[in-house]
Amino acid sequence: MDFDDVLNECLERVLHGETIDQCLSRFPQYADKLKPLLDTWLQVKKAVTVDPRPEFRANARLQFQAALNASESKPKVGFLDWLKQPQWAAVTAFALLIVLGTTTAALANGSMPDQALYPVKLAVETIQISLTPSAESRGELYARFLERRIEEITRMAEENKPDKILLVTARLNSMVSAIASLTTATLENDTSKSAAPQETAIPATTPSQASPVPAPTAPTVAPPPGQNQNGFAATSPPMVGATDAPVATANATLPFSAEPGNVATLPEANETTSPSTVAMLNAAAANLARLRDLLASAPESESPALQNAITAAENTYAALLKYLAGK
Amino acid sequence: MSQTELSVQEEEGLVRRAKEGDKHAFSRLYETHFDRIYRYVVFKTGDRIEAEDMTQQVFLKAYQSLSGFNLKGTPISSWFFRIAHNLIVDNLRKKTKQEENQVMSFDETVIAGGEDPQTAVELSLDVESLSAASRLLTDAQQEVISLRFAGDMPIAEVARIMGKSEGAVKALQHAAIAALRKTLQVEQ
Repeated sequence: MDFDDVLNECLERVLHGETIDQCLSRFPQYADKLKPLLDTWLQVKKAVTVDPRPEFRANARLQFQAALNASESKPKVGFLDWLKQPQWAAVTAFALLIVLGTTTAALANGSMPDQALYPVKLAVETIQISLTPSAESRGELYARFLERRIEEITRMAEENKPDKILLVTARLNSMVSAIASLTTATLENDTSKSAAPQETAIPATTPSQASPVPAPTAPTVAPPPGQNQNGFAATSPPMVGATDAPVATANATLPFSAEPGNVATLPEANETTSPSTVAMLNAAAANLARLRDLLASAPESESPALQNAITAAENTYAALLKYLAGK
Repeated sequence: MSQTELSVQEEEGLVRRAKEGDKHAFSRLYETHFDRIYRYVVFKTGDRIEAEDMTQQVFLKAYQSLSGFNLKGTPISSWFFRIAHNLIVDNLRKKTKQEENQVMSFDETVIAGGEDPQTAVELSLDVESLSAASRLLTDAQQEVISLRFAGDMPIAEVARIMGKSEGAVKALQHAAIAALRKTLQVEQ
């Protein structure tokens, strides 16, 4: 047994309840070398043993269950199911916009999260954002879409559909990031050149479905560039040295907190506040009050989802107000 | 939420049922591995808020791709960690601004207190500082620490994921702890 084995043996033993001194007594010939390493390891182990915040754990479980439940309605691939698939929703939306014009788009725009055309509605919005060149116009669109989301949350709350509320909440959280990017672009005076910030594509069923997952089976052939043979993406460039430190997100620089998961504080109007900001503040006050009224009378099964939705709406208003302030 | 709640047989049974569409089975896997994945991501990113979002993404992606998961003796936790790892790498690649600032602030924090061993002993090591310190390790050392200590993964599983022998992983573990000790200047 060489020293690496001895060290590992001691780590395992301490992990399972033995004290460091007990382990040192097993390997007295290595005690001097073992002790500092075990002390360091104990500190490391203590530092990494962080528990998720209870509220995060509860909300994550709720959202995950909602995603599981929503996925149950997808085994049959009929026409409506086909429409619900995110990769086809955008195509459908674009085709509807081009071929059928505003009538069908208007039908989709009136749909609710529990209806088949809702993914089309979201896709139409994404396309509208993409096709809107100026940051100012995109800000106005986001404000309009926020009103829609609040209407949807209200309707889903009235119909006691917490999983659909979570779906809308995920869309709102995505909107916060998109607006923050818009704000950053505006502040950098580069709005005409910057690409339109995109909301994360939120399909009809889950709050987050980004890049595809690598094949889970252990490959038997040489790994592709950037991955080791077990499918782990290579870490060399991003994981070492000064270039891979976590960075602040764009909205971390906002004077109003707009991070999903945190509660934003909306500013108060004064005599120097612009008319558009005053209008936004008034809308925020009215809509948030409406949602809080719903929360007060919501059944217990719906309260966590509704509370999340209110927080997301507050954050979205905060991001929009920040955007207006920076114009 | 602990990995010790499930035996290998129980876990394999749950994976089979989950692949057949049993959402309760997958929920059980979620509950069992949630904390481990969260700790792994916190350690790798050094950012608890970011880790919350990524941890959720890991399980959603896993569920969406479950039909492609092939048991064949591979613990599903290895797959969860792989998804987490790749998400983290993807995320880091997308970041283009302010990357050097946080490493600098770590250096200033740790090294400033490091001249005096007693001061270093009293340094309260949190996961964010540890995460930053670990970036001074090699990739392989960092991955061993992440999987082994944050992810609570046994040597054999770490070896399988990293494509190395158990002996090599033990050597990396030794080197990583020694390097961290030197970096953190813990004198006890």
